[in-house]
Parts: sequence; structure tokens; C-alpha cells
Amino acid sequence: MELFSNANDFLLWTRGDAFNIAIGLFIIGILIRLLEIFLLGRKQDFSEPRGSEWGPGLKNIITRSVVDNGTFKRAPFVVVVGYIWHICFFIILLFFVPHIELIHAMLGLKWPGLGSQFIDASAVIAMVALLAMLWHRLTHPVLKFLSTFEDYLVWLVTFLPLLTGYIAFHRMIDPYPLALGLHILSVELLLIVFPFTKLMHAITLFIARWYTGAMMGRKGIES
Amino acid sequence: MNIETFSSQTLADIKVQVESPEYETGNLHSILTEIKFSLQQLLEQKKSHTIDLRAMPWSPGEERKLEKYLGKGEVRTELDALGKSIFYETSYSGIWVVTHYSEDGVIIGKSIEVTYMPEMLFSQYEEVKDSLERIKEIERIEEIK
Amino acid sequence: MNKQTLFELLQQQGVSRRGFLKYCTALTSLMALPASMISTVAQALESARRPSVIWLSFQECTGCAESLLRSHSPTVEGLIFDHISLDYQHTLQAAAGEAAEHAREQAMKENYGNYLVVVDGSIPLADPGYSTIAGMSNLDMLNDTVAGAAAVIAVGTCSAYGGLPHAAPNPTGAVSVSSLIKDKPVINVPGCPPIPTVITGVLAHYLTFGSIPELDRLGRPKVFYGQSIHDRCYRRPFYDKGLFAETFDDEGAKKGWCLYRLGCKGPMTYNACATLKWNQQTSWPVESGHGCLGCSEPDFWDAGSFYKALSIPDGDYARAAGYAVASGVVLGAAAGFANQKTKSAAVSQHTKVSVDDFSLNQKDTNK
Repeated sequence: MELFSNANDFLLWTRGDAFNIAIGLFIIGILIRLLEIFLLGRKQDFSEPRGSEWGPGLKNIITRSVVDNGTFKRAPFVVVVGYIWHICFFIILLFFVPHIELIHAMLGLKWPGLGSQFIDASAVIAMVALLAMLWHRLTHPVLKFLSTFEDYLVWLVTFLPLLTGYIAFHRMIDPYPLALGLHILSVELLLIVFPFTKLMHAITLFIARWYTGAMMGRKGIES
Repeated sequence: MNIETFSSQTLADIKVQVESPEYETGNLHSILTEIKFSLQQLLEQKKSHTIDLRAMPWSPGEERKLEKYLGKGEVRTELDALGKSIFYETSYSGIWVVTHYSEDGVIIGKSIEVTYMPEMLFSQYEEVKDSLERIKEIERIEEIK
Repeated sequence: MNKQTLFELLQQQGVSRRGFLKYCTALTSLMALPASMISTVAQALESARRPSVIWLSFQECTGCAESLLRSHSPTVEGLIFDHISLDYQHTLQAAAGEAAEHAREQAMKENYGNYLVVVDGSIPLADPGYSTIAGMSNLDMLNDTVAGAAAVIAVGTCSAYGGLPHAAPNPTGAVSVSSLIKDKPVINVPGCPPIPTVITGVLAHYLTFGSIPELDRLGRPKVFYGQSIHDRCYRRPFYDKGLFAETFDDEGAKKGWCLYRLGCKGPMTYNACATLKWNQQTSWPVESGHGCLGCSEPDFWDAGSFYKALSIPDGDYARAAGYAVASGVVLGAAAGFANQKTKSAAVSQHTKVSVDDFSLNQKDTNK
């Protein structure tokens, strides 16, 4: 049986049913992960607070984005390439007009986009950065020893949207609806994998940083 | 069965005007490059080149801009075969603008020819041959008289 | 009847050699061939014969025929039409009933194996009664007529992909020509309607070279459908610069910015509108300020709103998200309580470790 009679059908499926499934699993997964963390709770702290929790907690979310010297000295490659990758990734995700349209349609928020030459350049840099990371992982003996299947899976599902997006943008696969459909599908794969892997760090990092900051704030420690 | 289309009015009569601000496709630039290259070829290899102006997308007004750039030169000639055709040399020698009209005055072809003389303006071999026959015929009739 | 070559026919009409060359020039441009091909086209046409054409109209609106025939006063399209022998077209021919059907049979017999069949409209398979001609079902007439054809040209989105009749829920079971005809070349010329010059360009190609042009994966001639609207759009620079019209009458729209956000389907649509334009090269949808609908693509009617950007999900994702939140909360709560249970179980089973537990007695550690 032919699954799709043509590329347009495939594109419609990725924009329709497949998207619904992906966004559904994404939300379910994230709620499970968050609730299982929050519901675990913490023992109540009966000590007298020496400072506030909220201020230092929020501040810590920001300040921890700046890399500390020790980490940089230990792994300059990971820090530099990691930063480059994340910045380029967010430029593409948040400032490419078709992406803004998607966010606008789903959340009602809208802002101006960037010219496609910036997006294009960011995509190339992001892909090179990811490839460099993979190379680093495969050549660094300790990192390679520590790497599990999940690490490679996470790399793949992150790389695919970039690659397919680049292909679709430059129309390297004919017909275009197939190229765009593959891009959307790869993002859906990312959405499904996201909550159940370390990709979840994109959300939990805020919790962890806040908690660290809040805890120290309560104890009156400058963080 | 032939299909005849009956219409007394062409679009030109209705005065449709496309009003849009100036923006550019960048094709003007590429055409100028192609013309430059063709002129070199014409000088060095005597090779003529035709650019079909209808084979590329233009933004409104861009085509007129190209014609304005090229200007008008010394030669302008009209051909009357299956409707009019207008040939004119631009202010750049060797660059001709050729516009073919249908019998109803609708443009059916437009091109830039980079050549010493557009091919179609030369008398056509088959018809020269035919002329010779006809002259001979007249001669023969005259002799009989 | 069709023994004359096209050149002879033109000569008879008093067309000069220059006139013929002019005709060839226009034709070459029409077929989207490079100007260097003019002499080749002229040579081919000197010996080309008028093909017999049988035009079948099935589930259609006659828009495609209108596009072609009413395009404008005689031009190249008209000339081409003069130089094919259109032997059957039930909307246009004077004959009706028996006589009309007779004309079709006659043309088929005389030109068996050599005639062209043009089809506009889709073919209903759910019940043949949805569309019949002279008591014959569309399917029967198609099979009957195509049997002796050299090639079939499916004009318009309905005959090329099923088109509007095929739109969900497709009550008539409408299908395309190419899904039924497998043993003959089928050229798809989609569009709702197709650009008249594209229809004639394809006819001209057959007339000139006696062969069918190179086709893409959807059976469309590559010369006309080889590039997307987006790639040839003069508004493309605005897309690249990130300048978009947000509404149909805002400043961006007035400045001619890209219509992507207003739902333009240009990026996924392959057609020649941007170059050939409509109404004597006056304009085309995007130039007139409206996004492309994607009418030359399969199922364009079912491809979501015409006014929604291409990157936007099409389904009822808000509902999916709603269900997901509900089930996520339930599952998350379950997982949370399970974790709490595990935790408290771990706490209750926890025994304190003392120095004695770290004795170096081998027997102890091995048990």
C-alpha cells in the first residue's frame, strides 16, 4: 500500500497528524518529567532563613550562563563550541520567519525576523559546531568511554532538523514539499525524544539553577 | 475545425495599468553581464546572440528601465509579416531590441539581439530564389509581347 | 486531411519566410527554449504535420478551455490552434449528438496511433452516472479514445490530479487521467486553470518535434514546471531580507514585500506564472498582491487555509495539546507518587552503615 500518494500528502501529514502526535507526546513527556521531580518534594527546611530565595534563585539562572574560569580551563573546546552552537541554534529557532510564524500561530506571540543570510550562516556554523562536537566525543578517550547510545541519539535528533532545514531552505531535495516535510518530521522526532533524554536539560537547567541559587540565598551565601 | 477568437477589444484598449513601486529582481544586472559577454563574443568570434526577454521574471517597470538604459540608436526598421515587428539598434552599436507583434498588435516576442544585423532583416535565400524565378517569368512575358 | 505540413499551410496563407521565422521565434519563446533553438524549430516545422487532436471534457468547469480559448485575440496561441486539427471538443464544435460522436470516431479511425488526446476534468469511479457523454461513462470514453492515441495531455488540475472533484471527501470517487492510463505517455499540465501559453507550449512541442517534452516526477513538462514560484518570484529578495507584508493593506503590502506570512504557497508550487504571467503578460497573482494558492500542485484544495503560512501546523493541534496536558498531568502525578513511594520505601529500608561494615574480612564481602 502506498502510504502517501505524493509529496504534498506527506507534507500535510507532517503538518497535521504527525505534528499532533509529536506535540502531544512532547507535552505529556515534559509534564511527567516535571511532576515526578516536583512531587518528590524536599524536606522542609526549619532553619531560620538568612536571606531571600527568589532573588538569588532568578539571579543564579542568569549568572550561571557565564562560564566560570575553571571549567573553561579544563574544557575550552566544549565551552567555546558549545556556546557557538547554542547561540546559532537560538538565532535559527527564534528569528527565522517561518519559525516565528509557527510560534505566532501556536502562542500568539510575534516579533520581527532576521534576513535569511544570517539564518543561513547560523545554520552552517551550528552544523559545523555539532559535527565538531561529535568528532570531539569520538576522539576524546574519556568522553568516548562515557558516551552511551543516548548521547549519540541526542546528537542525531538535534543534527537532523538543522540538516533537513538547510536542505529545505536551499531546495536540495526535489520536490520542495518532501524537503519541508522531512524537516518538520525531524523536528517532530526531536520533540518526541526531548522529554525522555538529556535534551530535557533545556528545561531542567532553570529548575536546577534556581534551586541552587535559592538554597544559597536562603543560607545567605553570595552566589 | 479552426477556433476563432472573436474580440474587438484587447487588453491594451482597456488601459490596464500596473501600479507598483520600484523593486528589482536583480535580473537587470545579469542581463547587462550577458550583453557585455555577447559583445565580446561578437567582436572576437563574430558570433551573434539572442536573449529572450520573456523567459525571465521581471518586476513591474524593470523591463522599461532596461530599455531606458540601452537608449535608441540610429537605425529603426519595421517588418510587416504576420503582424508588425520592430527592430531598432540601441545607442550601443551591435545591441538591437526586437519586438514582434501579432496581427492584433499584441506582443508575441521580445528579445535583445547582439549582432551586426538581425538575421530576419536579411533577404531570405528561399525568397531570393523565388524572386529570380519571377523576374525570369516577367522577362519571358515581355519577350512574347 | 492532415497530410499538409505546417510550413505548406502557412505558405498557402501567404505567410512569407520572414513571417515563418517570426512564428518560429515566438514558438521557441513559448516553448521556453533558448533563442539559439529557433533555427532547429524552423527546420522541424518545415516538415511537421498537423496533428489531429481529440479533446475530452469530463468532471470539469470549462475554465481550462476558457483559459486557452478566451485568452485574448489571435496570438501565437491562436496560431497553434489553427495548426492543429481539433476534431472533437463538445463545448466548441458545431455538431452535436450522433454527429459529434461520429466526428470523434472518424478522427480516431483516420489517425489511429497518431492523434493527441487532450483531457480536462477528472473521471468519477464511484458511480459512472456522475458524468456521462452520449450515454457513455467518462471512464469508457477515456479508455476507448486513448486506445489509439499517441499521447494524452491532461489539461488542468482536475485531469492531472483529480483536482476539485477529488477534494475530500471526494464524493464522486474522482481520479486523475494518469492513475488510469498506464500504457500511453501522459503529460500533466496542471493549474486551475493552467496558463494558456503553457497549454499551447506543450501542444507546440508535440507539433514541432513530434515528441513529448521532458517531464518531472508528477508528469509535468520541466520547461514550465521546473522551478518553483518562490524561486522565480520578483518578491523573493524581500523574503531573503526578512521583509513581509503582515496584512493585505499594510505598509509592507504597499511596498510589495513578500507574502509568505499571508499564506503564499509559492515555495511549494511549481509553475511558470512568475515568468509567463497572465493576461498578455500583464500581471500574475503575486504581482497583484495575493499569495499563490498552489493550484498546480496535487490536492491544493485540501492543503489547509490559503491564508496560513506554509510552516504552520494544519491539524487541530490545540486539542491535541489539551489532551496531552490532561494526560500528562495524570501520568506525571502517577509517576510522582510512584517515586515518592520508592523514596519512602528506600528510606524505611535504609540501614545505617557502621565502621564494622567496612571490615576487610574477605568472607564478609563475598557473601
